[in-house]
Amino acid sequence: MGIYLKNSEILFLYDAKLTNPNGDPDDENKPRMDYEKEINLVSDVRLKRYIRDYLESQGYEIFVAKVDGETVDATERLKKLFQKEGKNVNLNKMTKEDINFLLSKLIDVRLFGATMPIKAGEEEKGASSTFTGPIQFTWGYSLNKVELVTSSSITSTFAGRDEGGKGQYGTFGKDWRLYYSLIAFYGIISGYRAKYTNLSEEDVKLLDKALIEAIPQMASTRSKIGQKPRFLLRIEYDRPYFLGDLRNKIKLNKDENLRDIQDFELDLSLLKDLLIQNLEKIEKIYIYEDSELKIKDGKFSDQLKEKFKENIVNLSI
Amino acid sequence: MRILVFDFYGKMAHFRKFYTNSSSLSYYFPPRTTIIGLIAGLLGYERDTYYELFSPENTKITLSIRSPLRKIIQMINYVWADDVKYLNASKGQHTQVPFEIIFPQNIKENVCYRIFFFHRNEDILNALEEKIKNYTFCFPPYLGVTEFVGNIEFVGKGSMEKNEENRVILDSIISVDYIKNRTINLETYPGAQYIKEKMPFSFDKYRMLKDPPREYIGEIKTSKIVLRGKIDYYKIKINESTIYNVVFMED
Repeated sequence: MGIYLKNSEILFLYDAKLTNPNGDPDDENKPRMDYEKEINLVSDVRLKRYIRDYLESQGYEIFVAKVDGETVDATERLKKLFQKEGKNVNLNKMTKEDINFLLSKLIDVRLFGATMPIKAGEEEKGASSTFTGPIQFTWGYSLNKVELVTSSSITSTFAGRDEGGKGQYGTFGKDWRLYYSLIAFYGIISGYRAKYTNLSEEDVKLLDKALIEAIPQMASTRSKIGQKPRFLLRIEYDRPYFLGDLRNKIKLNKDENLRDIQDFELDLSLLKDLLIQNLEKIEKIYIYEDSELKIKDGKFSDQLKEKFKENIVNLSI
Repeated sequence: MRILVFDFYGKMAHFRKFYTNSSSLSYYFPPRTTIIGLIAGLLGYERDTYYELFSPENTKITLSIRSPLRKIIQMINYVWADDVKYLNASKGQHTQVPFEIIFPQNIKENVCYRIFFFHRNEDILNALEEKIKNYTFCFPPYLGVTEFVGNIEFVGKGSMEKNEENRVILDSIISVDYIKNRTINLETYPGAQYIKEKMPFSFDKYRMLKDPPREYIGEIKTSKIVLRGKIDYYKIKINESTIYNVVFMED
């Protein structure tokens, strides 16, 4: 596995139709909102959880997760990883080789980092090592103004007090959903930070796959069904370089009263101009475009091919 | 004296107040220690290796708030752990923490701070200038926490001149001690919203507080602070038409 030494930037769009993309636990689990601006918010943790759950479902070892349904704390978890390989390692006296072994086993630590109960060598302070992940997503927000679905009350019936002959009773709950939200995430991959967690080229390709496949596969609770990835752009540089938040460069031709992906067209002309201006610094562009997404002037990969030629890579499911 | 001026911006920000424990409230603008961490990260210094290099005796740092700001609180589910071995969420328990986020007035814009940075060591200034101009940062910049990815834009190199006047429209934040020690008055004006923040000021090499926290006043809607009295300040000139009136955080 070669360490990922490049830098990447990610623009990821997915939509949520008649669903709750990310509940706010302080507000009856209503969708996270900037009420003043009618914008839907989604935390980075929500997106990372989809990716972790997806990777686990594909058979990868995950650090931040339950182990086969049982509760295994972090210390036991790490010991078991070593024991599987017939090693006996003191977690308080880890060598560089030991740490590299752990990182090679735990993909979510390579991607997103973690705080782990291990000590490296003669390190004096603390009882844990903190790895900051090379992959970071900022919070997502909707490109359109969203509306909560009205008439969201549901009725649940709980059986109870049968012995007393009082029969059953019911109660009301709230099922908060949005009509439609087109959510945009911006993320970066830092080649400089990748040296610390041993992020590899294969890991980054797996991230592309996870972003495209995780949400449809992992959004299985009732309030999460109805979300679909629509657009993924990963721009790869051969040097430490970032253009900045790409969401400033995309527009919708209509951003109110949206109900479906057919209701709007995405304008990426500013983004295209920005990419062309930085043609010399860009090594590769990876693109996924959903067939239902309407983009002004046609497929974005076709628009870019004129200038970027063979450096465009189409991702597909 | 030569000073670097650059913009530090992103979609959202969170600069955690040191004195909140069961919630994560945010300052409206980054503390001096955070700005130093940002600059050290751009230059590639490892964690906890640079505090003395960027001590108050070696630097002059200040900032200008360049976008109207507002705050939103979101409740975050954090892993509940009373021991380091539960940090892998193995207990399956969460704790809910109010998490305050700085937002621009409109999400289509950015939260933006203009940083003014001087260091006695010319090599550090030169290295930082080269990295900012060429976007060759080592560690990527972020606005307080890694999920608020940020960016840096070079504004210019400025000359720095001391001045004294009776009334100044200040572009930077200003410390409360500075105002008190000189019996200066803050002038109010329509649309202004002054905020006072008590912030950490400097670390020793073990990342313990070296000096007491300091209070600073910033204006979060128009970026101007109007002062009246006997005011010593610096005029920073980038070119004939780009001039800033500032007071440094160390003053």
